Amino acid sequence: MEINRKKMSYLNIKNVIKNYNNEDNIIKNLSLKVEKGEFLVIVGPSGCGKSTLLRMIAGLEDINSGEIEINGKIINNVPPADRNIAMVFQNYALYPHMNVEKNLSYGLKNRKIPKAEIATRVKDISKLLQIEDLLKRKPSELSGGQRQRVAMGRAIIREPKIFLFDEPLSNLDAKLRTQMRIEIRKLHDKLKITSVYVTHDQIEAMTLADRIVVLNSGIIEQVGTPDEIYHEPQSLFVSKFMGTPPMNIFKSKVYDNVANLFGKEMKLDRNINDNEVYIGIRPEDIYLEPIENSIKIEINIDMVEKLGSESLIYANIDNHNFIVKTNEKINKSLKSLYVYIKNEKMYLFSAKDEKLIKKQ
Amino acid sequence: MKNTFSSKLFSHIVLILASLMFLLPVWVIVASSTHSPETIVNNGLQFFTGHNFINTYKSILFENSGYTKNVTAFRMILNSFIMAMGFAVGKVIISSMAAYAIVYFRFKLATFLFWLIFLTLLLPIQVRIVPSFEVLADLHLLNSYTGLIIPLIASATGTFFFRQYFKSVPEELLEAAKMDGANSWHFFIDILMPLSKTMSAALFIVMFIVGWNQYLWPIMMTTDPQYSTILLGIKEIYQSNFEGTYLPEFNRAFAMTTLALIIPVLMVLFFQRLFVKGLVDGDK
Repeated sequence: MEINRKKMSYLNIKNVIKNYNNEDNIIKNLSLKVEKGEFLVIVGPSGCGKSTLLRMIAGLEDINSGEIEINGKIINNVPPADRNIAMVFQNYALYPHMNVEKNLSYGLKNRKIPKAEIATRVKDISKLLQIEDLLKRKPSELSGGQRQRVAMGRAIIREPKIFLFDEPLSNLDAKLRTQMRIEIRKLHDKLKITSVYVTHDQIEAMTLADRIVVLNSGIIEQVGTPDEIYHEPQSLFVSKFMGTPPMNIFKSKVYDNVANLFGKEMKLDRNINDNEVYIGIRPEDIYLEPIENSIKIEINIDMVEKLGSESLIYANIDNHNFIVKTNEKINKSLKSLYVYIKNEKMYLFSAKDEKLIKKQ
Repeated sequence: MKNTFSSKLFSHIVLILASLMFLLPVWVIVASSTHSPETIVNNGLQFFTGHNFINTYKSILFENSGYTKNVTAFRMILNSFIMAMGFAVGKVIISSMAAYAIVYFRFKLATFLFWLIFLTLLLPIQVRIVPSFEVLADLHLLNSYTGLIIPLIASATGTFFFRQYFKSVPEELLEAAKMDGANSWHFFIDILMPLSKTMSAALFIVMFIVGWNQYLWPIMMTTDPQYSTILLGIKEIYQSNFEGTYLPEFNRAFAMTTLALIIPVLMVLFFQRLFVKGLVDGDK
């Protein structure tokens, strides 16, 4: 399919505020720029406003204040159909009484596109998505993955400027989800349509995104590439939210840049102005072998989960839960273990505003 | 319940008895209508068919009868059919559109208006028959199909059913249609109505029967026998049997009754297939 690259454009969200019935704001003064051809993933826990944000871009929700621009044109009051945006819904929202072909062509029909062109486009799209054999079937006769494809086809066929996904994979089983994830990314690489993808699944976010937006209670916690989000979380929230198993977090008193970790003192390599910090350590940054500049801690093992290539050790120290991820073989009957923690691998967050304390 | 032989036998006996209870009187009427008037007067109702079928039905269908001797049963069946059809189609259209407005155009008084419509369930036609008559008389719509049909097509029941159904249609379908550039009218015609096909058919058939059986309103509305319905015809023919000094022609009365049954039965049989199809398709 030929996509006219000149038509594609930026999406610019400026100081947008959204609330329902004058209650608390769901989206709190949010600004965000999406670049042309970019695949942006908005991730956050349920209720963080990510779907609302997407629906505002689509025009399905009004915004209370602020502006949304596409290609330099403010579209606040443009109805959804005229925004040239396509959306893939969580439950696909295929028209149950129409067959696949009609589902695909309905939007084009409403736009009064000539029949011959509709036919060619349906043919191209069904070929692209490998649904050529399904054109005469109704949605009820399709499997989850096939429905997903049709839903995407219905969006792509209109050659939109922006492609919106609202948790499109959450109704699929795990295996299919992985497969569709790859297909969505491949499709994006092929078509290069600016995409905004909403999910609560951090693996989807990490694998699909050019850039990730972490949203929490209507506020952007961090925007960055998957690597930045994972390796340089700017706030406690991001550090806890991204990563499976999640980062281990402890609160610790600090005097003179010396933290107290389960009774062991540790000189921190950062200047701390508060007298309390959150210390975060990723499960894979904990070592079972002695290393330099580390402290040694004894953990009580609650359970060992073998995942094949790696093992997860669920443990506790003074009733603080603690997860260790290791490639080494662990004896399941082991009751306790010494682990080594390195200062450089620690993330420090201010106890006051929960923001990252940067390394100097 | 266990599906033993005795329980099967028992349920079949109950079903057969119940069917007989409903079917026998109908059969007696059908059978009697094929006898001569003399046989019925002399020997009472007949259980087996007679030899007068063609004569009776031909004369009742195509020869003028009634008080003024200027309307045939065929004409009356046609009138009934037009009325019932208009009644049922009108109800489906009006109530689906009313429900569409209530469910999808969240205007301020929607809930209040819905309950107001719902309240009219408590007010049968008899309550408003005088004002309705007055209005139609002023509009010169007495003795017309329009006058027969229009005042009856507002339906609280229909609106209620459509409302409940529309509320169960996922919101995302509306949103998808919006993104696909469908306006409110497109969404209604292209998406909502095809989805509620089965429900519309059910409502249609029920309303058709109700419309077919309308009695009070047509009797008020029509003075011209050209507009009288088959039910009025039945009433008239029985009445004349008891009033005249001739031999009562019960065969004709029974034939008229039989004819009045045929169309509703055919409608039900025809739409029954649609119901089953709708259920099997699982379009929802």
